Order: sequence, then C-alpha cells, then structure tokens
Amino acid sequence: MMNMMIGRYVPGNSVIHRMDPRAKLLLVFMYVGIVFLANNSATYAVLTIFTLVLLLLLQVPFSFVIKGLRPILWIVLFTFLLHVFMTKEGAVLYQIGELTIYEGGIRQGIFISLRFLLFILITTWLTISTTPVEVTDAVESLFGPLKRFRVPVHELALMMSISLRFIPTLMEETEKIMKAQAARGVDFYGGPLGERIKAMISLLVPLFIHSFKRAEELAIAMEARGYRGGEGRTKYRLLTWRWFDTCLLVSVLAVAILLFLLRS
Amino acid sequence: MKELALSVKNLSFQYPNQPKESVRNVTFQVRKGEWVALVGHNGSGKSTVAKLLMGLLKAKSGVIKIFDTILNEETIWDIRKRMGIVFQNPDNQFVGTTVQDDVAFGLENNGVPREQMIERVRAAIQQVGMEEFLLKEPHYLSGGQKQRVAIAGIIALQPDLIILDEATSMLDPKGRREVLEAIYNLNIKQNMTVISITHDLEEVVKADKVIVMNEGEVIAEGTPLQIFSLGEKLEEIRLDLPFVMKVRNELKKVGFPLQLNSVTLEELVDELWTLYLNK
Amino acid sequence: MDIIFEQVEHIYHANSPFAQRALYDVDLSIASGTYVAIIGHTGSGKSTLLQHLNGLLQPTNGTVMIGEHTITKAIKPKQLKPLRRKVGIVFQFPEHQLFEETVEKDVCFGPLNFGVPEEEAKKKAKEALSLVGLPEEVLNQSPFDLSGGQMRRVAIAGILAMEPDVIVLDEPTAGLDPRGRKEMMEMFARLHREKKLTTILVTHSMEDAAKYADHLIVMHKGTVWKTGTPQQIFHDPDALLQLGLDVPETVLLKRKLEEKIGREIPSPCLTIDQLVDGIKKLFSGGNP
Repeated sequence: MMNMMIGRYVPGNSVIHRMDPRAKLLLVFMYVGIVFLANNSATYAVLTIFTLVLLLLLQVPFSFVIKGLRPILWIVLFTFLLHVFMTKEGAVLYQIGELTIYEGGIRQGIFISLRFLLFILITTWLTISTTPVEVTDAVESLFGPLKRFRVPVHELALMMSISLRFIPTLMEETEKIMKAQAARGVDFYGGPLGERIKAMISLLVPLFIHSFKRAEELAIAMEARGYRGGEGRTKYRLLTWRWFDTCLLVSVLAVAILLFLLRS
Repeated sequence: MKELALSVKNLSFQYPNQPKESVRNVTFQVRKGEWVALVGHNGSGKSTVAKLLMGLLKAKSGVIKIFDTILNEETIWDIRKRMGIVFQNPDNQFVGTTVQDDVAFGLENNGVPREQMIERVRAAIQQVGMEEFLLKEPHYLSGGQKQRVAIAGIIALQPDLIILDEATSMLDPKGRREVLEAIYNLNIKQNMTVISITHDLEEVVKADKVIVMNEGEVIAEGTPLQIFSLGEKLEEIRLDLPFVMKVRNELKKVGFPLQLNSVTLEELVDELWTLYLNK
Repeated sequence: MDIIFEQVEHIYHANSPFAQRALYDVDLSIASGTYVAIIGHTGSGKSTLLQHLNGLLQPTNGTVMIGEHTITKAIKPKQLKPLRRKVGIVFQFPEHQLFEETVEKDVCFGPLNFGVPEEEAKKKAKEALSLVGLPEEVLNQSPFDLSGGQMRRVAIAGILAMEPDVIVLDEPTAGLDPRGRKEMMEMFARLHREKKLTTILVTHSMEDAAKYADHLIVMHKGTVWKTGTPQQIFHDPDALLQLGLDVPETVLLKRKLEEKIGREIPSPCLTIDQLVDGIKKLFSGGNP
C-alpha cells in the first residue's frame, strides 16, 4: 500500500506546487483533450517533451514518478502487445509460425501505449503537486456556477473533504477490528469460502456500525458549530490565480496549435 | 452578584422509546465567569443536559435562558454563536482536513470575513498552545491535542460560554492534564464561563460550583468541598471521592486533627507539615 | 504457560523508506500464573509488545516463547492460530468488535473459530457470561441493545469463552465511570485468583498497577526500561517522573511530604492504608 505512488502527494515548494489548483485541474482536462490530436511521431514527440517539461518543473526526484508507474507498467505492456498482434497494416516485419508482426502494429502499439503512459504521467503530475483538499477546493470553485442549476456543489465538496479527512481514521479502525477478530481465531487470509465470508462479516458489521455512529456524532458536532449549509458561509482557504497559471494554460493552447499543424 | 450567564428551569427530556425521562425537572444557574461542573455516572443524564443547552435536543418542558435570550427555534442559531461545546470523542468532531481548517470551520459557518478569520484562527490556536501544528492533519495528533484543537475552534468564535461534555474521558493521563490546563487557563485568565461535564471528581476540585446528577435529577449542588463532604453518598451513585479527600478521611479516622479545607495535594502536604511542626 | 522474550525487535514496514523501529532489545519473562502490569506512555512500544503475545505480530528479530510455542520471524502465520486460543487479548474498547445478532452468538464466535463443537461453545458462553457478571437473560438479546459497560462485558466474555491460559488487557477500564472501573478491575483480580489466569495488564493507571500486579514492566522508547515488584519500581519515584510517567498518588504524596518535612517515611505507601500508616509512624517518631 505504501509503495503506491499514484495519488500520493509529495510536499514541495516548486512553481507547480504553488500553482492555483484550478489551473492545474483545467490543464489536466485540456491535456486529456489534446492527447487525441497526436497521431504521428512528430506530434507524439511534442507531447512527450511538453509532459517531461511539466514533470521537471515539479522538482521532485524522478524516482518518485517512476515508482508510481511501476504497478501500471504491465498494463502498458499488455496494451502494446495487443496492438502489435492485432493490427494488420503496413509491411510485414517478422513471421514466426502463425504470428505475423506488421510495421503498423509496432507503430500503433507504441503510440497507444505512449498515450496511455502520458495520461498516467499527467495525473501523477497533478497528484504529486496537489493535496486532495486543494483538488476539492478547485472542484468546488470550478463547478460553482452549477449552483444556479441547483447542483449541490458546496455539499458535494464538503462531503469529499470530510471523506478524505476520515480515510486514515477508517484505515486505522479497520486494522484494529481485524486484529481484534484475529485474536478470536478469525483467519482473514485463507480458509474455505464460508469461513471467509464469516470473517468479512465480522469485520464489516462493526465497521459499519461504528461509521454510522461517527457520522451521527460528526453531524451533531457540525450543527453545534453553526453549520447550516453553504448559504452565507465564508471561506478560510483562498485560491489565488497568478500570471504563471495563465501562462501555463496558454502554453497548453500553444501545444494544441502545434499538434494541429504537425498531425497527419 | 455577577450577571447570570445561564439559567435552566424545570428542564425535562425523554428519549423516544424510553420508559422514563432521562432528564427530570433540572434547575440550575451559572453566573458569568464561573466554572461550574456537572457530575454524575455514565448514564445519569448529564450529557443529555449539554445537548439540550445547545439546542441539539428539544426539551419536553422547561426553560433555558442564555443571558437574556430564551432558547427556542428562532433564537437557536444566535445562541449557538454565543456558546461552544467540546464533545467526548476527539475524532468525531474534527471536521477540517488540517488543524487550521478545523479551527476555521465555525468561523466559516458564521460568515466571518476572511481577514478577521486568519487573525482569530491564529490567536485561538496560540491560546491552546498548538501553533506548531497549524498545518498538521488530524491523524498525526494525539487525543489530547485534538481536544485542544476543538477548544481552539470554539475560542475562535469568541463565545460567552463553553461546555465541555466529557471532553477528557477518552484521553490518557497526559492528554487529560493538557485539556484540564486549557480549561483552567480559559476560566482563570480569560474569565470565560465554563460548564464541564464529567464523572471524575478529581477534575472538579478547582471548579466554583459542582452540580451532582443522578437518574436524571439534580441531587446536590455546592462548592467542591461541600460536595466532597457527602462522602459515601457519592459512592452510592457510582462516583468516587478525589484522592486527597480519601486520604484526609482516613487520617481523620486515626485521629489526625485536620481542620483546614485542603483539597489539593499541595494543600494537604502543607497542612500536615504545620501539624508536624506543632506536635 | 511461561512467557519469555529474548532480544525481541520489531520494525514496522521493514525494508522500506517508512521503516520504524517500535521495539528493540526486549528481554523479559513472565511466569505462569502471575499478574503483570506493563506501564509506559503512549508510543513506548506497549501495544506493539502485547501484539507479540499471541502472534498478531511476529518479531523481526529475536524469539518469543509462549509455553511450547516459539515465534520467530520465520514462522508461518498459519502455525500461530493454536496459540491465539491460549492467549486471549482484550483490546481497548473491546465492545467495538461485537457484530452478531445475539450475545450468545457473539460469545460463541471465538470458541467456534477454534473448532469447539456448537453445544459445548454454548455451554462455555453461559459460563463466561456469569464470570463477567451478566445475567443469563442477555443471551438472546442483541449486544447493541445493552449499555456501554454491559457491551464491554459481553466482549470480554467472548475472550474468556475461548478458555485462554493467559489474558492480556489493554486499558480495560477506558471510558468507564469510577464505579465501572473498580468493578472491572475487581472482576479481573477475581478471575486471576480463581482461574489462575496469567494476567497481563497494559495501563496508564499507576494506582491499578500498584494495587493489582505482582510484577511491573516499565517500557520506554521501545525497550524495557525496568522490571520489578511495584515496591521496587515505585521506590524511586523521581526516575519515573523524569521519564514523564506518573506514579501512584500515594507515592507522590509521600514524596512531597518527605521533601517538606525532610524525613523519610518508613513505608512503601502503595495504598492509602500504607500511606496513613506511614504518616502515623512519621508523626510518632521523635523530632530530628
């Protein structure tokens, strides 16, 4: 669990860390859109270079980024092989028995797995430099206009931030209950199906009961502290948009135009 | 006589599906700047009283008056601005993702402008001695530290009255001392009106007034010393005398002429020393 | 079942950047049938230590011997199951582990997991309930309809029904009111006496440690700082206070009085009776 680096914030003070989370979120959305413009070596090269520049700006050891990729590498490899064997375009490169490998297959394989890799890199870029709370703030702010259409944006954002705050608490509690039941002879890691189901019940029932109690107490505490919805509320956290945020978004636009010109 | 901060008259409450009332005909008063302790065993109704005072439960009958305002559905939100409550479980009242966010939560709810908020958050965190932890997430804090953050969240609202509803009962001795010290500082130095609810009579030694509850009713009221002199009656209602009182009682039984009203360890040592010198 | 720790070390997340040494150089022995209290503040390694007692954690180095079981890092977790029946752990707030529809089913859960036939498990459940002082009527009630104190007793009965030789108690009185605390501690003292249960109490209450335990183990920063009888441990209260630990209030009063008067009180003062006795002796002695 500890080795999973995707979604793991790495504290830092780089220009990217200090960016407005809204700009980062917008950048990722735009990026996902323009990745589909790439369709030849030149365009993929432009995208890769742009992504590497973004990652360099993080000023986080590259090993952190690579570590995050490791668990997904086999999926990338699988995607590659799938395309290699399934695409029947261009010149034949190899023929081993029944298997024929075409030039188009290799190219397609590289492009598609590269696209996949880029997606993961850009999300890693976001999560390494942005705390989940910042993401929540950005979502609340960006989707703010939807309030007019009666979308409970504030409530959803608050729910998100409270869930985030309680993840470590719940993980701790899960471990505690598992240990307590293991001390009563429960085996969480083996045994026949029936026993495994029983083991899960002995964990989930206390966890649910306790979470309900938590939620109830939390709701009472929030009410006692004057919480009554988003109406008339001020915000402690302030998002500030700087010129750098605008610059970076403009650079994405520039990359998009470049891709348009270079794509075949 | 100082101004009344809180007056409770003939308060009764019954939970649905319960055969009898959890709070029956409770009457008491708290003056401004006082520290009043509400004691009773688990299930004696003391925490229900706290929830009634905050308007989190609706009384069956009786009147709750905070300063000049009577608690009802129209005044409830104003009253909540003037009173704060710290609950028992440190985890289940920590709303914010970090210490500063949690302290700011109540201010945000009350629409305090951001510039003021920053100042008040900082001041409140300083008052409970948690300034090093401003940016920390709750799971890096001990129970006692979380409770101090909860207290800061209330101080930041600049209330007239703070209720501590068994705020120390889930803490280790160190955490308990930290929280008690924070309460003591608030009451003595800031002149804050405090109602502390507890089953531990050790914690009420420094209170101005103690109210004892049993089976939903107030059965005694007085200074800590008056309450401690009830002796075995307290044990009958599942409470326990503070250590110093127990020692005093035993010493008296074997003929020590203890006269002074020492309730703390230091006071007892001094009294024994005087006796020793004069023997 | 004697318990012996030899050079036990435990590192969490060993071989990762998050490695954290929670225990080291732990040597101790607990003789069968004794009542031992483990004291130390939060983070001293107490809770890591107690999880080694039934193999929930295995040492990353060193050996734990419990009766005929030997636990090292090489042992497969599966082999530890029989040990868990012999050593019951009552965790802090044990009522959080209740999950069955009826008290009877919940108390039977442990024995059934260890292969006890159903009829026998039910018999044991009844016995265990009477041991913890609950009436038989609660058998068919939902544990969630009981009061907090009763729920805790049901959870403890669930451990006792496994008929362990050793019972480990982690802060068993947390959150209870004074009477509840006293009743709970008296109950364990009785079980220790009558059932000859080896009892290991982890507590913050120095009064309880002094009153109930034959032997104390003081943990500090991941290792055993000192072991001895309550009398030996509390003989030097300053050393404990320097570690940031408490001492029983009787000992604290004795120390302050000695300091003020400048004479020693000839009594260990672990209980109020001993303290009063000591003060009496002090006063009856001649002036210095």
